[in-house]
Amino acid sequence: MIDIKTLSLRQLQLEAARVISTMPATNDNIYKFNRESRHNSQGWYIAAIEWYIKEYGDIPSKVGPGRDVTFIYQEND
Amino acid sequence: MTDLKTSEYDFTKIPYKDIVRVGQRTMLYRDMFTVSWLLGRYCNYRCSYCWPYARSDTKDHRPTPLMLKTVDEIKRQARERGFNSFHFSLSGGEPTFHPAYIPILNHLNEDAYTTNYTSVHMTSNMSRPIKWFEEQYVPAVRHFHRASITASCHREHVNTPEKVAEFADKLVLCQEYDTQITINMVMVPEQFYEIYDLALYFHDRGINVTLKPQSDPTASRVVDGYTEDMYAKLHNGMPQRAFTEVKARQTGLVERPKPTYMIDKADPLRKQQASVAAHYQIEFIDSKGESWFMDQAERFNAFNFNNFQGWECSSGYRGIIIREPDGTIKRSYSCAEVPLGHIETGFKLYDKPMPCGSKSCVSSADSKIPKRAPGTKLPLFPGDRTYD
Repeated sequence: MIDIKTLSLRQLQLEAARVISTMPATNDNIYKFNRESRHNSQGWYIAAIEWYIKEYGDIPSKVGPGRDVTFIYQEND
Repeated sequence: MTDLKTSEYDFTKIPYKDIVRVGQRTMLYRDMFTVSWLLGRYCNYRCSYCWPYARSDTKDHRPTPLMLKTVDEIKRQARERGFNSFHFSLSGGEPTFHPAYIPILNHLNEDAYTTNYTSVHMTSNMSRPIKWFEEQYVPAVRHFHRASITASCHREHVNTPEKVAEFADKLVLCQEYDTQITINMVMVPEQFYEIYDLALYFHDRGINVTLKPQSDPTASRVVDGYTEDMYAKLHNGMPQRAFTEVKARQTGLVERPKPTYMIDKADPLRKQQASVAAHYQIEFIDSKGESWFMDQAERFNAFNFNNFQGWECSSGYRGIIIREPDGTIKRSYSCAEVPLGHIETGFKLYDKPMPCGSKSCVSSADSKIPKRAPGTKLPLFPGDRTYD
């Protein structure tokens, strides 16, 4: 499995977007990611992706509902 | 007017428990759609008191083309629902460090002529040099119908008389270019009078100051420690004045286009309220149909007027927030509901005002969105008959 700490900022944003788009992302449900990322947005993305990996076994673009997420903008658009 | 530092309109007289409709007047009586957009959490300041998730040391800026596509989609859906006046409020982190900040303003500018009204607001620590404001910010906002800044004065960084003066100089420059200014000051109880003296300095330089009570770390209630005198100042102190209008008129540097809002000409409430000064931004209606006014929604928390659970709220229908780092698009910040979508994957606005499902509504960006108590048959926007 890929070491998520090696992902670029943009890759982290897109993987985290797959996580948030496939869970009931209420304030209460995503607060757990805040707790693990003090003053660190990239840490927030990593916390969200790590939670997903625990749920589904791999990063969102590889496994589970995250694979079906489509984006409105990608760099090669 | 005898004392400009205290409001002559006594906000303590408003019967908060008997209010059945509340909202920002520019939204109640105009086809205004609002966007409160937290562009990213990255901030160049590291204030010791900043909440752990309110700012970031690491960059979290999304690509500029995505931001511009999002602007277009917001406008498309808003127009589909009959709103063609827009208020974009851009914040952070520190929004002026987002690479898309000036491009977003320019993108809005290109389309402003097809809107009935476009207004842009930012919340900033004003740390960019005065030259940046003169050469980047002012030219980018001069063609909008309105531009405004909420300046956050962080005393850990603005910590010498010279820096305080420089902070004020930047704001005065923006006022001269017809940008509305208010300085947000969080009135920490232990340092209340020290902060109040600083507020007086800004007030004396002709800059509006908003005195805000300090919230607890979960932003759900005002902290303890305020005396009666302190509460009196929070309730009625430093009312907003037309300082920018005076300075901009003197310089004549900016001529703004005239708005062409869609309004409900037959609405009797709109007619009654037309003569009330514009700086009373908030209107309340009580159960007897009597109107009350307040300068700005930032005072709501000082009166614990922030519980609207069960009320019908127009947020999510005629206003959204976009928040980072999660990227969610929601009806408002405090809302307990699932988001309307995500900035990377798209969103869908509600098709009508919806009931509030949240225990408290502590952000002024949320609480000022027009809302009505259950069973109230009053419109939340021009032509609104959704209460039938």
